[in-house]
Amino acid sequence: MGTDIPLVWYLVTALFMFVMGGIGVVVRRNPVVVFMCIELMLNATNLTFLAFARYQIASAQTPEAALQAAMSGQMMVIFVMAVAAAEVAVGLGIIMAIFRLKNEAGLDDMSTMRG
Amino acid sequence: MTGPFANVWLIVALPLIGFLVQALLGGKVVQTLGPRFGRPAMGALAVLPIAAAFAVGLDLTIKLAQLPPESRTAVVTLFDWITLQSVNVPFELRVDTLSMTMVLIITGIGALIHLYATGYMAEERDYTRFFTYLNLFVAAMLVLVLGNNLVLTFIGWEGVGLCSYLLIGFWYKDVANSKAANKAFIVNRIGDWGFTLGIFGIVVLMAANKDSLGITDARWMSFDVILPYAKDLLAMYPGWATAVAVLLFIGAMGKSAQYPLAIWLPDAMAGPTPVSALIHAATMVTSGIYLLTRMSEWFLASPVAMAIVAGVGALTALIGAATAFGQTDIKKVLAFSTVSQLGYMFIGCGVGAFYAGMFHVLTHAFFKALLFLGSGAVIHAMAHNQDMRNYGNLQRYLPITFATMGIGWAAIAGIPFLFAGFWSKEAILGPAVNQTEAVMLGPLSVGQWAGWVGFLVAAMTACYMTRMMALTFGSGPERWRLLPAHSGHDDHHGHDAHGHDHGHDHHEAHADEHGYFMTDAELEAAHAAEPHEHHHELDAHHKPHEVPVTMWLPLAVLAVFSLGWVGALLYENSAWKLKYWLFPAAKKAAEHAHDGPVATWMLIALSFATSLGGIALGLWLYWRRLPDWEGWDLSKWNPLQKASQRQFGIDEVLGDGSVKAGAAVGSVTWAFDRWVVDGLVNLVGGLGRLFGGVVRKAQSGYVRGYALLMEIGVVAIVGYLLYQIVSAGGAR
Amino acid sequence: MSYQPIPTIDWWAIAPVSIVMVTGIVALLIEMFRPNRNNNTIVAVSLVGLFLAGLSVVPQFSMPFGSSFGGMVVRDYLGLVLQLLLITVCFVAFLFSEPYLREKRIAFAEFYQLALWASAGGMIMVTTENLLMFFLGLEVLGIALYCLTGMCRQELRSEESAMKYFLLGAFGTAFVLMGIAYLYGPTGSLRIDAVSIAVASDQPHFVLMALFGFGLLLVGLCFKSALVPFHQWTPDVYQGAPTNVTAFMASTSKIAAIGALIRVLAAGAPLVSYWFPIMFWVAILSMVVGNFAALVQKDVKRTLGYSSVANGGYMLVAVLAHVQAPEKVSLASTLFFITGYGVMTMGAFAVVSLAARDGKEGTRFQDLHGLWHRAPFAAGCLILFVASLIGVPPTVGFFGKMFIFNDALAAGLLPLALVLAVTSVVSAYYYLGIIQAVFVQEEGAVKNESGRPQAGLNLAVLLCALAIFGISLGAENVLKFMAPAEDGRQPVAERTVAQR
Repeated sequence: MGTDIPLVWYLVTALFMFVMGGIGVVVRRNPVVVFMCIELMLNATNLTFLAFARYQIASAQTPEAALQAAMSGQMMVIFVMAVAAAEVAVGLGIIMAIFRLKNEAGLDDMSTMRG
Repeated sequence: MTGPFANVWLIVALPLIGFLVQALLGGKVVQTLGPRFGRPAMGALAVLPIAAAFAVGLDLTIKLAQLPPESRTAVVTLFDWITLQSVNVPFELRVDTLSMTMVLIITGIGALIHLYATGYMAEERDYTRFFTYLNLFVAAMLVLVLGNNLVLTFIGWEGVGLCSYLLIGFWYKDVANSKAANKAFIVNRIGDWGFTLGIFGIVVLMAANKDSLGITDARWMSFDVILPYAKDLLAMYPGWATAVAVLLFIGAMGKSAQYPLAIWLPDAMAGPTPVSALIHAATMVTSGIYLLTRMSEWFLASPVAMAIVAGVGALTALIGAATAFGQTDIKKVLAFSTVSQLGYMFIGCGVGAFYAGMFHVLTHAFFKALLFLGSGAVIHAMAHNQDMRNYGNLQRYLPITFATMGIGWAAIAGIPFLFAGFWSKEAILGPAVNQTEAVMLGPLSVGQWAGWVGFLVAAMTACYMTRMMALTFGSGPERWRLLPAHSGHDDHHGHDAHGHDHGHDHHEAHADEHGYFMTDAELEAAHAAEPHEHHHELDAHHKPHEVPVTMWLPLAVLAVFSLGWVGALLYENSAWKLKYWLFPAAKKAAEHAHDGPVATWMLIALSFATSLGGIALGLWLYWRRLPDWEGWDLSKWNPLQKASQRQFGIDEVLGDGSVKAGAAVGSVTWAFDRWVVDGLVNLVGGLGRLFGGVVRKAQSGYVRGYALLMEIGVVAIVGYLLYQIVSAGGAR
Repeated sequence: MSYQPIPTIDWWAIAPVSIVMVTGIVALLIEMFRPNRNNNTIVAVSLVGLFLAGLSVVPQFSMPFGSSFGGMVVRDYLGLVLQLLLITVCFVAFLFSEPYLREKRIAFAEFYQLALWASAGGMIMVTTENLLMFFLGLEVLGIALYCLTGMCRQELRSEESAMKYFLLGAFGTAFVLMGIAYLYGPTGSLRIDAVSIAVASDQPHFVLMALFGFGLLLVGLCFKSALVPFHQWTPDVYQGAPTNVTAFMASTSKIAAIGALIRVLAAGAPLVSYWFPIMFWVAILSMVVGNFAALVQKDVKRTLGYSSVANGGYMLVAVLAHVQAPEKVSLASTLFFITGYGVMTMGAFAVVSLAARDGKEGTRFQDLHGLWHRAPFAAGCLILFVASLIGVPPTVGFFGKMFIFNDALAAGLLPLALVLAVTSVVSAYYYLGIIQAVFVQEEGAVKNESGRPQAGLNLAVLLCALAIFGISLGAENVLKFMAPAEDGRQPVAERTVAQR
């Protein structure tokens, strides 16, 4: 990897994003923003996957093994993005349905069921 | 499935077949043949299986008696049921002296009561439904006593509970009956809770020590495997064993109606009278005593548990007897008397005289079934009015009922030598006061005290039973003829004159006046009459008639068995010796027995004094009149009597719980149920509720809150994992 | 550059999932071309499709076990039994959903396709040893369930629960993904047994990473299986979702998640000493919290929600016993219990769904009063289901708990066995509350004229009741079926490692 940025930096950045997202989920009250925080967490995992994939290429003994290992991680990222898109569609649909029923969608108002 | 006892399965199968016939064909047959022929046909089909089971039981008992005493135990495995690598629970029945004694009681008295019920329920619309439940009950009860492992016993235990629940609520259109049924069901759950935990305790003890005890038989949940090791287990874990014994006793308290779990039994009288006689006097309520006797080796090693049994028994005997004085409903008197007599049986068990407890189970089954069936005959003759204050001078109209019930009364009052009750009572109280069999708990001898309380209760029993007999049959005025004049004073008891539609509104309106809601059985009297097609009101022109032969014949048979010869035959010093029949090992021990401080002649003199004194007092007070202090006008009752009528508030305190007693009394029944649901939670433990409440608080409804808890969980888990691996010095 | 050879395609292994998926697409197409509010053709097609899928599972029991598609699809006992169970659960849910959806005035359009796809997702989860496939199955199941939960669009509760489920579900997914990333990182493999590869590599920081990833993966699975402390969505979502969806979700989601958990925990065997205490406490907390919290509930669906948490705890005990002593304890009792749980839960919720009428629905305890008179058959069967949930002998529930109890003792997990015994006694009280509500007709209680049972519902209830009877009577044989001599006794992890 030579003078490249070491793997750990990627991992730390990703973990930082992940933790920030996690904190955001707990402190924010707008469902859209909360969902954006979750997206941030998903993106952190994507970054992790890509960094690891890159690292696998660098550390594999044979080109075949390198290809196979790297491809797994990269495919994973593509699937995560696809799934995240599907989740967005569903999530926004639910938020829209709530808007239609009560014209606002504060998360803390969504607590009629408890106990 | 070979050997002399191979056909023991018939005993369980016959009532079960009867149940299936009633359930599947009953309605059809009655429909095709019409009620006139269909009902007697189905009635006969209900009685026959029980009678046949009795015959099989008798045959097996005779075979059993021919064996030498030490080998009078046989286990018949019908089929393998649960087989795993470490445990085997076959469907196995146990034929031994104890189980066969119970089988004979259940099927013998069961057959008579079925016969009686064919007459008593003759006009009932749901005739076959009644016999469906009743046959199922007998089958379940037989599984309970014949089962050779804890699982089967538990199935029978739950089965009889279910049938009892269904039969109490038989007239389910009546809300009060459903309530009584629910009360019985719920209180029994508390008992079952103890029983289940007790079973779990035994299973855990056995499972954990299987290897160290060297138990190779995979059937380690069976009695014949558990009991021989009881002593070893007890020696190893005295605390555990005591806990198990106490938990089993809690189960017995629920089924056998011991205070404070007795509150369901009086309400259970809402069911039809044959049910009261069979289930709530003769058989099901004695399954607690059966359980204790079956597990007697376990109990004997735990003085604390024995003291608790004797103490609870004495307390129950006393409270039950005291409460019976204040009851005006004839079935309630008998209900409390049953509670009191069950207390007696537990005194017997608690002082170590388990055979005496079983002895009393036997005699009590006869005379209490007799009394209940007799009261049923009286109720039948009095247009389903159960208030003794509306009776009087019935000896003129119901001579057979009077004569047979008179024998039952003499038996329960304990008139010496001539009647069965005396013998079994002696068998309990003698060992109790003499401490011949008891285990001492330090310096305190709970058993001895329980024995003296037993004598006091004997006098009380004689007195309140005389009261019941005198008010019903005594040669006073025929008080139902005065009814219309009285109904204006006191709606509580004139309600029959008002017709049926007043129900709850009525008693809610007047409830405060009485300070207590109408008992369920009283409500039953008003409501239950409805299904009867030829019902008429009890009024001045009513003329009681003696009951039909199907109803008095069982009375006569039971009366014969309530006489003294039964007791004399089975008493310790006589030829049959129930004690050595049930416990062959006791015979050797008896040779070293020594006399206690109280000589036999003194005990007999005491019995004379208590029974005759009680009877004399009762006759003097009640034979010729209904005294004012328990008349129709409740305001003239003296405080003691009133307290007794209200069951000393026990039912209220337990039943009403946190709901302020007396407030909104009209809805007490409803509030009771609400309380029971919450109250059960209380019983599970303040802890449980507190804990549930804390969890509930945490369940704030906020997504953020949930996410936060998840994150805390993640941090805890990941943190723990990393801490582990780091403290382990890197990887492995 | 050379490529991996194209593996031979094992059509049978993917047949059940494919059939269910395709049935969902067909149902969608029918809905598109015949946009009818209540289109019974969809129901018929879905039932036939499920039946075919079930048929395609059965012959596989006699086929050689092993993995195909490079470990993406696995054929083994666990997977086949759970697939069959998932199909059955979906079938029963469809049977009683039809009258419920009519009463509740919900269009048929969404339910059938989404439920089919959710089932397919669950089936993928239990038949794969590849983390990518696992993730896809999880999301197919999850996203379909989010939509289903919010299906009743005129009810705010339904939407609220959908929102909670969606946000928390996506949140949980993030942890699963991060976990997978850290399992993938050191090994370059997306196989479920990446842990053992990492351990085999003998590099301390690899093991550290794998352990970190494994922990996060467990979190995600605990969330899906509704185990404490990741259970909080359960009661809210169960309460808010339409009852037929609740029933479907309670069974499908739990079965799939526990199935996946079994594989993941078995694959984590090399690190068992690290994670075992965690799962041990999760099991205890689930049983205790689930049962005690259920005591204080006033809503039947919430009660059943907490009961589901507790049942998850029981299942975890069985799994842990298997992982702890694989040579002594087979997976049979786990499978037995899951099967029983699926049947009991479907039956109980089917009866509770009778409380719906004319577009409204009340699920508090008092809303069930008098159900006995309107629907005696269903109410009678409810006794059976509840008795089984309590564990009254000789029902499935009793045998299930007894087998687990036995397993826990055999594996030397006495504390778990004791907690199981005590908490299941506690559970009797709230379960009895349900029976009481159905059978008592209180004066002063809400008179709720709930729906009368229809053929579909009665059939569903009857099927569940018969299944309970059947399994109870043949407990022995069912258990033997679940643990065939060689396969069941062999822990999943060993076999996978051997195949590599």
